[in-house]
Amino acid sequence: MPDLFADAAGADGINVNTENYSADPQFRDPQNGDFSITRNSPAYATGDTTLDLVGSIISDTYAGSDITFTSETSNQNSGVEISALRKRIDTSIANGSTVSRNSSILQTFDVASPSLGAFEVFHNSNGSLVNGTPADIAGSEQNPSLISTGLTEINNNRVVIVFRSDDIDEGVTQDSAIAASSEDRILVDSNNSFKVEFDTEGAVRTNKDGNITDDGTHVFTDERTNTDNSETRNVTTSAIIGNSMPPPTITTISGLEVKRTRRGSGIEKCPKEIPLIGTDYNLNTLICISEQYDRNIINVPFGLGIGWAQGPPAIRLRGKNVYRVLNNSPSTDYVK
Amino acid sequence: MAKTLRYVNAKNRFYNIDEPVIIELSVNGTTIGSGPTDDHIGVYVDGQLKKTIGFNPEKVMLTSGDGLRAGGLHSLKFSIMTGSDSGGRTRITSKGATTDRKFVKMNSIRVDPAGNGNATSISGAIDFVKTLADPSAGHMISVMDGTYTTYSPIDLKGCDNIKIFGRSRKAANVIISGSASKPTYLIKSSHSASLAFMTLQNASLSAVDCYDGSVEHTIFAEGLIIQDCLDPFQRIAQNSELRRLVIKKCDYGLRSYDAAQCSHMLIHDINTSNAPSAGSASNSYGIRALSGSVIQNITIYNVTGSYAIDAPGSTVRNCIVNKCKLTDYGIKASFYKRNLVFDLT
Repeated sequence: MPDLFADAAGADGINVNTENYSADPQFRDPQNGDFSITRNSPAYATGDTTLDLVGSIISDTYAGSDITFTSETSNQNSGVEISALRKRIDTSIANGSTVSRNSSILQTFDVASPSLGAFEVFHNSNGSLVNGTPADIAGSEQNPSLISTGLTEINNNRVVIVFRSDDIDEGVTQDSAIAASSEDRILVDSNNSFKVEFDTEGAVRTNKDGNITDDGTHVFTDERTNTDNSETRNVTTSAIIGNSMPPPTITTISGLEVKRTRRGSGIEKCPKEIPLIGTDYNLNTLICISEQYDRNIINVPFGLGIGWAQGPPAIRLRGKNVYRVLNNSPSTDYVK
Repeated sequence: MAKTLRYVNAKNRFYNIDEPVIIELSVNGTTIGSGPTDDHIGVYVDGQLKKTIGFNPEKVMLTSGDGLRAGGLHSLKFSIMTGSDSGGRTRITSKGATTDRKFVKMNSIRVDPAGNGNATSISGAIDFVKTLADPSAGHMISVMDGTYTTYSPIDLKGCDNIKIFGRSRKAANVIISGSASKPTYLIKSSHSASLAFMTLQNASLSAVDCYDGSVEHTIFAEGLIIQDCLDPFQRIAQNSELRRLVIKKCDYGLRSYDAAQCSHMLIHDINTSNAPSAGSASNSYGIRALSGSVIQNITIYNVTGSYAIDAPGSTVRNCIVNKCKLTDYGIKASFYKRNLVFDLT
């Protein structure tokens, strides 16, 4: 029997970590090509999370530049988001996510570690595993980087924002009118529910090939959804807006309207009450989305179990800073 | 709504790479040529000054020679420029003498066997790319579902940075298959080519040959199924990135000639009786990569050879090695963490 690993004293095995295992991975049906694992497998959710996922950035490239807008519904006015909105990603992860800074302090987030092996663990809305070979997963809608547009999923106490590369606001516009009007809005009302309004400024209809089809001034409608713990309501498309959006409005959970301005001179900081916590399922990490431009992530030790990325935001998401949490949640203040 | 659409308003449209992008020229609030230092108009593509034009044209025409690429989203900006100084430099005459950025999206080059695209074969699309002003600009080719029988390698030479994708994003739907008399390679790659969402099968040597002109090429791959080949890739170069691949029924697994980054790959049935030709077990690997590689979340099953993972000087983590017949080690690396190795003989 060959050695499982190169000897620690060998020329190459200079750092054998004792966390390596020797146990049956319990593939579902390897003889027939099913190498997925179950929750009972020792490989399930026991992976190392200390490094980012490596590999190709093709998904991002593809999603950002070769967009497919396909509405799977018969409602032709429904825009592009509906099919995605109706798909619910696992709600068992990051249950502790919160929209409230106060309530997030001292809170522990339960984030699943990646599993061993090639199969990424996704769950459907029923909590069941979604299976598929790595190649299948790469092209599936469960892979958030391939969702045609940004997906915002709302639960009673949770916001998940999945984004792709071209959703990232690079701060490209210098037109104050555009800047003021072209924002998706996440509205939090006094009932602790959310309303998301997707900005449709400048949007026109596209066909499945991503080509714009001319239908005059008709634009995608706002898409609104309210969810509770049990179901996602159908997206409604009651409102058809014009080519400009009303000024963005954000309210706190208490119903207080928060006025804000765009970044730039005289910027008004968004309230600390609304850092949004979501889960980047592609990386099995948490992200923190803050609308405060220069908010820093500090005072969080960097180590196993806790891993806020410090410093400036890694990316910008439509005017929001996105910080990545590399591992399980902070156990102390994390947003200052 | 995606930023793409935010900026591509009703006045914009999507263009094909073989048609010029014609922009009506307008500079708000400024009469062109009226300023004392006005000399010409500068045209910026993606923030780079690409060309200068005089004041008279009603339209600006941009082509692939101006940096446009199929499948790309480009920003355009027009500025009123001064005349050249003694150093030959020009600059914007005054702050504000420039347009807002305008965005145009170029369609990818579509391969459709039914004839509804730009080409009916991948090689045809490649030939088209080679006719463009800059074939290496990173043009994108979208391949519709179908089986594309390959009699000789699809040669990407000169088409650096090209991106070839299965349009439906399902690897099983776009099959590039060697003909009955197997070609040596299915694809001869170029530098930094990207391949995604396709099945590559039935080559006498490699599915993708990354070695051309005595130089290894970097490859980016995602969502590929590669089977019934000797090697999935031949001699991939440093900085290659591979994710979510399935490599099966090949004589060899992945053999990188340099450091590579690999994740979420399923490699099984390598050099077994299922392989089209039995290779040498003593020199067969699930993965072999050189120092500096990162190999993570790989499942290796039923590999007969020397190592399941041979990556000296590299990091191996979150991998499963199961049911392999190995003469040496399950995993060889410099740093390995949380791997599961079971049932080696």
